[in-house]
Amino acid sequence: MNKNKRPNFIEKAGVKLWDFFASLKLTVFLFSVIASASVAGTFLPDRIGIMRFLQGKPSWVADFFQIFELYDIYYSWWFVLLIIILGVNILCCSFERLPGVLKIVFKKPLPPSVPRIESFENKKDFYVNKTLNQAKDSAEKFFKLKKLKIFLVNSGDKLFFTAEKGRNSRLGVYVAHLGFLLLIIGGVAGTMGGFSGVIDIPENETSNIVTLFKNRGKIDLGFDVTCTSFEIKRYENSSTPKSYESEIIFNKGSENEKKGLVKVNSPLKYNGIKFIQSGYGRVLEGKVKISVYDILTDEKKGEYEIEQGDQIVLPDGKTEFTLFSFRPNFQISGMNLGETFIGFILKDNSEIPVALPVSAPGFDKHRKGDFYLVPEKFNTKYYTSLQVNKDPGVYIVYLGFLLLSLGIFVSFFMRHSSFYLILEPLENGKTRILCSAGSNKGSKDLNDELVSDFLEFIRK
Amino acid sequence: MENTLILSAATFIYGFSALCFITESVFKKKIFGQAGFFLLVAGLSTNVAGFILRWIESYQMGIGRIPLSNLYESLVFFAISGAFLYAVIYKKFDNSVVASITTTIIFLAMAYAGLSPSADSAITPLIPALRSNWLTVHVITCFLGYAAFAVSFAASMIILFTRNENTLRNLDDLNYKMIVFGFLFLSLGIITGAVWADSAWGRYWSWDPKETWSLITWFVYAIVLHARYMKNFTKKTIAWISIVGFIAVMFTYFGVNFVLAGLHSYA
Repeated sequence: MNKNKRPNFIEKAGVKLWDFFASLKLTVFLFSVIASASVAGTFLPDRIGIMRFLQGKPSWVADFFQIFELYDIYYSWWFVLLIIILGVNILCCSFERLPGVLKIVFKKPLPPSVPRIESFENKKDFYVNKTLNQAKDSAEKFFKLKKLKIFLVNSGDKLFFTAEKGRNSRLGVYVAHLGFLLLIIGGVAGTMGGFSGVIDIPENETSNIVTLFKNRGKIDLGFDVTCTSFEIKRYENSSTPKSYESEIIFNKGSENEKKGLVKVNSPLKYNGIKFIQSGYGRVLEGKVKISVYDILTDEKKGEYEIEQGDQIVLPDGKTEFTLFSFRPNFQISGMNLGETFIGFILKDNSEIPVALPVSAPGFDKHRKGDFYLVPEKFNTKYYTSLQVNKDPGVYIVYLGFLLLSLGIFVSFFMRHSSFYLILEPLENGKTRILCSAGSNKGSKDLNDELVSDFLEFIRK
Repeated sequence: MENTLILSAATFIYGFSALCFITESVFKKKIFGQAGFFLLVAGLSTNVAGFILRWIESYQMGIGRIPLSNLYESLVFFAISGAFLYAVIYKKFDNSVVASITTTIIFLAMAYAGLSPSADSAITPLIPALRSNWLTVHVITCFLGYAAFAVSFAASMIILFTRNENTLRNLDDLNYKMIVFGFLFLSLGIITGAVWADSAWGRYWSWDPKETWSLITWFVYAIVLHARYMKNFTKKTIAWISIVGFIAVMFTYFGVNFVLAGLHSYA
């Protein structure tokens, strides 16, 4: 007995599950939930903001944020899951309804019956002073004029016409849904199989290391990227930037070299990876001359030419200075010092930070050390900041864009309209005409207009 | 700059047009409606003239670009789209209250453009990120969509209050048509934006607040379009959802710029 019941139960569950996934209610529900989650996502602070918010909160709050990945809603497991369920939902809905529509699209239309014609409000029943053949010619001319496709059936002495257009437009909604599905597939594929990060390259230097946006991890590109020059193009007689351009050489062994220009709004592609101009800055080129003065007498005690990262011993023979970095716009307590060298002094085992702004030579006096340092001669050069992306899903997404817009256009702005006509010869050489027009959607007016146009045409 | 003078003139004409339609809906005198429509077309012509003059002036200044790149210019273009769309459908859906609300929205958009300190009317050169052919098609598609949603909002407001079955059917038809039109253009706007973002920022989608809110708007109107095939959604429920949709449009347009920070801060 159990054996007989079991498949039945599974069948029932299967039908229920299918009905669940093929329901429009689920679609509307998912639309609402995904939209609401997206709203929440735009108001939630970023990762750092959330960490600040979680300080001093009970641990279950932090756990909650952790489990639901609220610091990155759009990539969280549940958000992605909702989107995948939406995809399944659309797929099931289409499979549920598509066979019926395909039957209509690929079947020849049936010849119209009198009751069918009479079921339309715009039906007309009248006589014309034409023979059957004259009326037939006239009707065919009209259909050609209106670009309708003619299906003609003889039955007895009567002629049955169905003239129609836009039959394929019934598929528009499925094209749109397929497009949307491709967006989901391409989006998920891109998230799983791609990466996104940034690479900084000073002029005439080479790099192959990308810093990922996600978790600041580093990856090796597997080929070299060299920046031969970086340029800011400006509008004529103006300081407003017009474009940022980097000359780049990609090199993966000498036979695979590629040269090109990366500009804002005009990226370059190499090895399936896209390089986009996203920023720039200045770095120290070569060495900087730093002079050391006595703080009491302002007397020059020494002169050093050093590179970034170099260490020098000051004239007292024990204090060490390390040049750490060059910043083109150094901000300190809300003030912009402009071009500034940053370093630190090691004296009696304690580290003191040092800022040496180029525009204020005496700035280091404030440190109140035995000496003060002044940067003198140096050159800078640009570095370019390129965003680096790999997205294997992007072509699927583009196809999705195309199908989605095409599908929306076809399903809302085109329709399947049919004109039904029966011609019946009468004994006195006249012809009886019975006709009406209908469509799968759209306004009634257009159908009515077709009928009245036909009347005018056939009576001529 | 003469274009701003002409555009202020357009603002006033729109204002009078709105006034006429409001008068028509209060006193039920057709003559005011005709005057309102005449003024709407006059306002639209002035608006377009100002737009073209602004375009020409930008060339005279040596900048040379279509005026579609900041809050001021987008508001001006929004008014053009709205007025044009309404002038086209006016004959078919002659409803003085819908006309009043739509023209008032157009007037407010223009007045806001002219008066708000955050909508700078100076013609400035394009920042590098906006120098792209995608700018024109992206902005035009988005704002045609927004304009259609504004008309649908006006229709929805009245659907909520009307008891007349005929008006209800007529406005529901208008509401649906405007949403269908707006939905197509919003979709195209989002898609052109994504393709552009792919070339300018390297990713077609980065969940920037502007992008996210346009997607939220898209979802709300997608609900409207699907709700028509469900039995338990009445015309009034659909009107409510379309009002929510327009609030989302407004937030996408203004809210994101003033409340949330993102990449899309020019308009």
